[in-house]
Amino acid sequence: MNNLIKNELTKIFHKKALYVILIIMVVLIFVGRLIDKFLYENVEANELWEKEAIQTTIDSLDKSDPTYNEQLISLNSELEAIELSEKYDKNSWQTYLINNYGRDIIYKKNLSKGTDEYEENKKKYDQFIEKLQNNDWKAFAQEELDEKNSEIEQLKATENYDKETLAGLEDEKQVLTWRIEKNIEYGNDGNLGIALEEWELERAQLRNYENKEKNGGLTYSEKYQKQTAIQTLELYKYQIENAIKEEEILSDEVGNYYIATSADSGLATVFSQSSYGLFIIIATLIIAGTIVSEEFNKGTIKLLLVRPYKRTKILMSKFITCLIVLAIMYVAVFLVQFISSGIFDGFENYNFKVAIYSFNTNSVETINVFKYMLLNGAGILPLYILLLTLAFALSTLFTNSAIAIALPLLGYMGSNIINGFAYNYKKAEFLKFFVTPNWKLNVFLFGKIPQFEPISLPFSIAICLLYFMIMMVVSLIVFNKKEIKNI
Amino acid sequence: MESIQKVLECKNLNKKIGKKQILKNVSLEVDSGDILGFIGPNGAGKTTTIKLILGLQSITSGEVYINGYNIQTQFEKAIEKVGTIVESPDLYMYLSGYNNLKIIANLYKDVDENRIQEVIKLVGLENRINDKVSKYSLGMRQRLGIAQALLHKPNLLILDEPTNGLDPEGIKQLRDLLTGLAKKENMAILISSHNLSELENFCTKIAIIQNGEMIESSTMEEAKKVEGKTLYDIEVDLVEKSKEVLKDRIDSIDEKTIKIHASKEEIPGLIETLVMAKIKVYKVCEDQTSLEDAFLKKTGGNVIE
Repeated sequence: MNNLIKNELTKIFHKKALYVILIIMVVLIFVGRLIDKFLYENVEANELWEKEAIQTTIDSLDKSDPTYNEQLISLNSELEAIELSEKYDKNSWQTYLINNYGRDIIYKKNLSKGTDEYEENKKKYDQFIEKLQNNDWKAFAQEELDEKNSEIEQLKATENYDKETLAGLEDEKQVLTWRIEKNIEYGNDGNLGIALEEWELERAQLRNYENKEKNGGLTYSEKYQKQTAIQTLELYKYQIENAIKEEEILSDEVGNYYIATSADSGLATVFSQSSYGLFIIIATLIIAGTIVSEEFNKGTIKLLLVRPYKRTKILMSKFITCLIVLAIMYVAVFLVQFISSGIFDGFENYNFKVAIYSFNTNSVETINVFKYMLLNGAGILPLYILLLTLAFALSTLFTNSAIAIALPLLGYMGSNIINGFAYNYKKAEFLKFFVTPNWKLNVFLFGKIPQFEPISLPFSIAICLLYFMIMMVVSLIVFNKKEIKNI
Repeated sequence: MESIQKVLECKNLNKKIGKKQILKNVSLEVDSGDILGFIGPNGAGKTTTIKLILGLQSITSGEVYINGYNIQTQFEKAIEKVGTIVESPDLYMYLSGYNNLKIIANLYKDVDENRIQEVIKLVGLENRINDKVSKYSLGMRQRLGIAQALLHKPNLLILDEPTNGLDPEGIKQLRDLLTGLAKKENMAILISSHNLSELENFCTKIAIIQNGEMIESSTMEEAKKVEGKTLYDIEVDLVEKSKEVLKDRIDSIDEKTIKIHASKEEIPGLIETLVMAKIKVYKVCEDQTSLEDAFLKKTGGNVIE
């Protein structure tokens, strides 16, 4: 048996197909990283263009027509705001404040021109400009926080106040508190700034689901969405509290959210992202889809079958060879990712942690990136093995390589459509007996519930095993009975 | 001859595909030291018989024993000492000649590097053995095919059309090689071919198959006879006169030779008749195409049903 496997590997490694795929993979991953590194930064909004567009609109309006007055004021205020922000750096907190607060202040000032309110609005405007020039964003934040506190006090003082409103205000207060405590400047603190905003949004989402839960319960898909909200919410909180500036929260294709706490996040996605997965799939399908059929088509199967080995052994040795190729692809994809990340981001940071939210302990946990990768790699293994087995079985049944490669690939691409039905239609419950909603076991990682209600971890494992056994048994029976036709 | 046991024994092989009877009660025997020429027109069932013997196709009814082991029930033991080329030498084109032999050597316990080199020398491929097989000519592939068949020192060699693509020298070498193997190593050889004159020169036994039925299985001498008679060439000076003397016994004539179907015992009488009629007899010999002649007479030409 060992000798048979050794021979199969010799045959495979003397073929060009595997090498071509490996080379394409290496090139694409490296090119991808290069693009990430050097081209991504150049994509920026062109404000000059925005300014011109506004100016053109103003010119096109009929200024004598009073109905356009309000629009003119609004557009002119826009222009004024843009001109004001040009005084400051594009990423400065001033620009951020001008965009988020300044526009409104300028618009109010311009609109009230000639009325009684003008004085007051002009005063507000001047104060705002002064604050910008003072270069003290914390003072601005403190002022906002004080306002928020007094708003909360006022609300609490009223009778039968709306608890929902209070919760919203409390969240806003929390954001401001974090801003001051963690020194998160408006605007230019990239990921942390985003985290603050997103946290607030997710909080609102979660409160929404919690209210629904109290008033009559959630549907399954709402439960799943609530789960997503909890994951992201807790991870944003973790990010803010630990001041993780460099990284953002990412999600893989099965809805696992995580933060790669330092260095390169690419490594964490090796086994959970479809772009890498596709290389593994194509390489293994090409091998598994040809390993039997090619020998039949070229007549070389006769060389094998007149040796003192049972046909079952010969077929099994071919299947095991396919599994070895799969393992090789796993290692190759990992190595290429590891090396390309190392080259672009440095090898020194590799022992980093990945933060995930665990529903087992209901808390954010950090795990070593290699462990995270292994968990994902193991979770997605059934998909690869089942596709490989399908190609292998078709190759044995029809001795036609094209069918054996194309059908599983089609199945893989179509699996998203089938799974889409499974997730979205109540009547599609029977799809739980279909293999595609079951073959990604990493949907169960960290105590999560899957998007598809009727499945569970033991059920999915059983379905995967069942499909595997059927394909293997059929292949073995057919191969053992096969007549070697004259060619 | 040490053992009485037949190396290859086929008993009443039948093969049906759908409703079509491909083989009808085919029986064959090959002893060690025998070279059995297996002949028949295209589509007669030669390759199918060989595939049944090798377990490449299922047997509808009948039995095949190789070295006493049943191919259906004791496949691994039965096939262990068999070397073969079926149909054409299908080798791995993308591997070198050496790697082709190496991967086959891996499948047997006692085939080492020395044996591989020995076989390469035997078939005369030393200079090209590291080239890819895709660069080989058909003749070279045939040689490599024979090399892989001999690698594990089989005691039964089954070759399907091994002379295809070989040049005259190659054919002579193969003939010498096979004769040597049969004599020195007591190997049993079954060889199918269309090239009848090739078989005639070195086979010890012959089996003729037509439309899936064995029509003759005998020694070479027997095979050449049609109803007990062999075709003889008699070279004479007066062809026309000979024709008159021997009348309808003559099968055909050309410038200097007359051809007659006769048994060995009749020959002195025939010579005497000619000499009495003052016809000079220069030479009497067995016709070179006697096997082909017998074959065509027995099969009634090449008809595929």
